[in-house]
Amino acid sequence: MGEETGVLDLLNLIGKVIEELQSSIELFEASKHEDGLTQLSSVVLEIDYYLERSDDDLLLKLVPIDRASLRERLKAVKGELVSVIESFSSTAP
Amino acid sequence: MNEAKKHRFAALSNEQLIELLRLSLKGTSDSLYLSCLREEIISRNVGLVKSIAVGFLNSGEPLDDLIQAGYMGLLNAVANFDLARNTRFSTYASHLIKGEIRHYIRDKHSTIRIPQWVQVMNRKVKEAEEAFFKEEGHPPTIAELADCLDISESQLVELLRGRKAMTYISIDQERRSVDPNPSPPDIAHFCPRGENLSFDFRMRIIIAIEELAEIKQQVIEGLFYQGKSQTEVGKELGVSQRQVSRMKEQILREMKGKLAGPHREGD
Repeated sequence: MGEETGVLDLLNLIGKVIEELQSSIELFEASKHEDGLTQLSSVVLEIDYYLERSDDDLLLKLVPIDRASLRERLKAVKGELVSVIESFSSTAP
Repeated sequence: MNEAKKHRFAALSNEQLIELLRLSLKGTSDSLYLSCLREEIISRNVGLVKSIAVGFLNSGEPLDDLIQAGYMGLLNAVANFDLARNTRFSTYASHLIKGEIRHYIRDKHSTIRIPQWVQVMNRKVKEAEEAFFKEEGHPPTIAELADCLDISESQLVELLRGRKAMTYISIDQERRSVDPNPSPPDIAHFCPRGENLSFDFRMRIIIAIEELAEIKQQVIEGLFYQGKSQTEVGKELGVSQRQVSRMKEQILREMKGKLAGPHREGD
């Protein structure tokens, strides 16, 4: 659907982001911290990218979902991930 | 408050008042006297709490709520202040007040759910700390607290890592031996570079995944069980019902592809 509309849709975003978050945990646990941080940063950028274009997501028109609340929830997830990145980065020697 | 007592308290410093409170808790002082002492300590530090809370106004939270959170930090400071460290009470209290306000803001600004088990265990830890302090007159060490909760020290440490705001009491005990004037530990204390992902980070990422999975579930339910008719959507989008139908079919195909793939999402 994303390819057809030219805009990433919510389900694709979530599917992709969940996989990347799981992968970031694995990277951190394997002590590949730089890679884990890069992965987390990439998730933040993707959520940002989607938030900027969510008005164009046709999928959202198909479901009775409150867009403002959805945006807030995605922003909260993004905020939490940013906070993890900042906290982790601050532990650098 | 009894006026004579009030005058007597007024001549004492914060540190002396707290020492008096400690001694009174160990002795046979009546509850009215103890409550007067506490009231005096709190009332003379109201300005400190307010001035710190004002610094967090850009969080968007009402000042009253920030002040309330700050009072929690002040009460914790009263309960845990240690005269032996030669630190001024206001310095120590400032750290705890800030920590409690930050914790409050973080909780308010996140719609991410804290897992039920973490909430329950946090409450038990807090209750055990309070009960221990009431009984013994000093805050528990990690070993003592673990014993009260009937869990291992390492399990307790993991729990405390999960809630940053709760760490200062026990971790402070460890740090006193090397640092006479410690500030509250931050996350770096628990997660030096080169070590595994800390409990706190891992939990926060996992909770983010859970939140996203919940949104996904709602969207899917909305799409297939409560959605508008294809004709309605078509009208809104300015496309035909047939095009809407194709759109849905494509979403279904993509979802089937993902579910059949080698890596399933964690929901």
